[in-house]
Amino acid sequence: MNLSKTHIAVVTLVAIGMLLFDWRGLTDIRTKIAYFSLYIPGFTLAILLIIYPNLPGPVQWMRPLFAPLAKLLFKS
Amino acid sequence: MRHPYRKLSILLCSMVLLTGCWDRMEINDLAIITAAGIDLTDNDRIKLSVQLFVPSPPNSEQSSSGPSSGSNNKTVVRDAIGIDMADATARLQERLSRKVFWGQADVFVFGEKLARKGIKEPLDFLTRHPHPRERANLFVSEGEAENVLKWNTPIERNSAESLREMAVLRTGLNISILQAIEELSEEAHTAVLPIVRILHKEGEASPFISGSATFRDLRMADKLNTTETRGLLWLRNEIKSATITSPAYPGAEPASVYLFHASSKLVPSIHNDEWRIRVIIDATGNLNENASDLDTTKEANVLKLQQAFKQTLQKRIEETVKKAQQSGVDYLGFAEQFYRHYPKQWRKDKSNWDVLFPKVVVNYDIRLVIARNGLTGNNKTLQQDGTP
Amino acid sequence: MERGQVSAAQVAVLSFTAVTATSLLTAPTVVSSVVKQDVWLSPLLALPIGFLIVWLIVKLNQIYPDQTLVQYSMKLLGRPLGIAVNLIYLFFIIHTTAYVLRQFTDFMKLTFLFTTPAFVVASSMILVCALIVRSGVEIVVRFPMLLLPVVLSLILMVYMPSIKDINLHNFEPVLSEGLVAPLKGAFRLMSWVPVFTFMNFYLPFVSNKRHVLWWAFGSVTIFTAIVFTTFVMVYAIIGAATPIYVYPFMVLARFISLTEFFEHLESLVMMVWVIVIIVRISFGLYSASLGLAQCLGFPSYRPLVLPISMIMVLLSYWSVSNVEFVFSPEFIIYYLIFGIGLPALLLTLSTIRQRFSKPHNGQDEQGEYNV
Repeated sequence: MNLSKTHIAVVTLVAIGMLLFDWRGLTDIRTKIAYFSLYIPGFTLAILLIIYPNLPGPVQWMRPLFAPLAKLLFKS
Repeated sequence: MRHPYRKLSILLCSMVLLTGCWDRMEINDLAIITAAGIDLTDNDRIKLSVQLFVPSPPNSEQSSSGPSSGSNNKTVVRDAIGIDMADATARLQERLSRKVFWGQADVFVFGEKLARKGIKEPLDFLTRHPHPRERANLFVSEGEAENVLKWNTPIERNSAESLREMAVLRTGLNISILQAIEELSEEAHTAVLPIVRILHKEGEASPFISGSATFRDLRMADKLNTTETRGLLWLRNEIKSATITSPAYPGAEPASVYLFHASSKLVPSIHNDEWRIRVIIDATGNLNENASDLDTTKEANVLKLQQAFKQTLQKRIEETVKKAQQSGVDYLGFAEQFYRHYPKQWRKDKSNWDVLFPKVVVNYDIRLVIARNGLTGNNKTLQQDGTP
Repeated sequence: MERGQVSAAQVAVLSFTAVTATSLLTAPTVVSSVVKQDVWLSPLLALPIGFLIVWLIVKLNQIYPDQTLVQYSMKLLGRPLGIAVNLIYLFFIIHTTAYVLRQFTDFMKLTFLFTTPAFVVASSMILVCALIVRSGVEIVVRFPMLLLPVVLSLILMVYMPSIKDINLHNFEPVLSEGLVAPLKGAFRLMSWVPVFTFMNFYLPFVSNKRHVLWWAFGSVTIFTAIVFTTFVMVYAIIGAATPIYVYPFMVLARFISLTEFFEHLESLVMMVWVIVIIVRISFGLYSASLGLAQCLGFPSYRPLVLPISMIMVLLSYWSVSNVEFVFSPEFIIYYLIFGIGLPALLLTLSTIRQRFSKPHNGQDEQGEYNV
């Protein structure tokens, strides 16, 4: 996934497609809030990852979190 | 219907994927490699020669009624030089009008020089790259591998096919990439590959399998001739059929038995620091030829013949074992047997296997049975030595 | 929210298909690199853990018959803590399913689809799963049921022609290093077994609850049987070279050559893989969507499916350059915490609550618990 206008265009297209698909199902305000609170971070993350692929992610903090326990349990 | 526009939009979107994705490959655009030869050039680079499959155009069928049409070339050989195999493949691609496709490559031949230097690098390519198949056969050629590929065979489609069929017939070894890797992963880290030699006769070249090459640390260590290879086949339990010829009794003319069923086992044992292996062989055969004057309808004579054959067989195997023990390279699979049955002791003495291996005592326990005598019994008509 | 009705058998089939999905292809390497020739013991040693996990889930479901883990954890832990724990749990589900998606994409790109952008591969897969999940729980459980014969026959078609290449001597020496190595291998198998916990999202909809426990145990047993057979076949044929290959099952399929006619069977592997991955991802996607909807109190889970799928695709790419991490011990601990830890904690809490709320039982053990 490297920087390219086509990539951003495709992702935006897909995002719009998703929205169109779900528009009818978002009946009340609560569902709308939930939907967009997932949708917007997702969309921004997608664009961010295209521009900056090496974003540090959950893996980075999970490893050190479990490392001491892993060393304890796991000899090899 | 509900939501017609929705369904239409989904259909339209999925049609985009149908327009032919990124990975379509037409067969016309593929250069199908049937065999590859890997040689070492003078300045330590890899020369990769490939034999490409040329599909014959339809209008040549009319003229090819016999093998006399000299340009009946079903194959084409191209080569390229690179730092390693992947590099050579990339350069090869530069010279071809079609995309290199390894999926049908069933034969890989290593040139002798490369084998001596080490086959680690090509083997890594062959196992790591997703295309080459694990069932492809490996060979070592005497001299340059490219010559083996250039040969055009009258019988089979191309020389790759010929070599493979010859390997399957088990006159020599039949080693696939997977088998080679397996053997290298086992305890002794050795491997054996069959050798291909080209016989030049009356201007025609015909490759055939003659002997094997043993590898130690992925470098060619030793060469075995055909008889020694047969001995090796016996030890590896890969004999499908064999013909043993020996004098019927000391000083007589030879007799031959065709063994159609043979199996062998290696049983290791360690007693008081003495490492032994018992070679147990079970073989059944039909008497093929009896040029001596022994009357084969009498049971005592048959037993004598069996004894004679047993000794010849034992000698054949002993030759191989002696050669292996002299060279100190264990390609007979002894190490693996000791590991399987005596793991604790093996682990202790693993590091001086080089010293231990030549000292292993080998006993033979051969059971050979002649099941049938063929169509004739006592061939009196053919014994022209005066007695009626 | 969800009014579907499924049967225990369907949930069992769904569970073991989902869990077997990823293990079939890569487990032989992961386990045999630690265990070598005693590799067949590891699935057998992992079986009790599978039983434990499943038992915990079914037990919890017996206490709260119509609720999923998300719902009763909120009850047991109180609303704020419950929601926090649930969100982490849901993140765990989405995260692990995203890794499965990543493994799928990697495999496809490596072996068959070289140039197709990973995004396209991942999105097509997730689209199919999203469609399945949106259609309701009945579709999610019926899909594997429908395709089970296909999957099993394809797997058999890979095993049968390989039988002639089996060399049982590859398994000698047996247990040369004692039980330590197979136990380590069984630990490695914990990368896959805790996925059985996702079953808790489907159990509330089971109509015949009487035999659920037996069906669940059966599901774990079949999973173990399939993994066992795979290990045996792979190691019997590829032997000591198994740890070299990342996808030994695939190597097995490529190696098949029965009468020189059945060759190049790797497309079978691809078919099996695609089908079971769809099952696995829909298993996870439905759990995550339903869980999130219940956690935040929404009337329907359907609108959440697509955003969660988008997040899954993104997570499968975010900062994971190499899938090897999925088999590392840290990840296994991650799995075990949510696979065994959380259900066990919830079960303990609910037992405490029950005892505490029935003082006439005569058991005066409240002093031990600090409630």
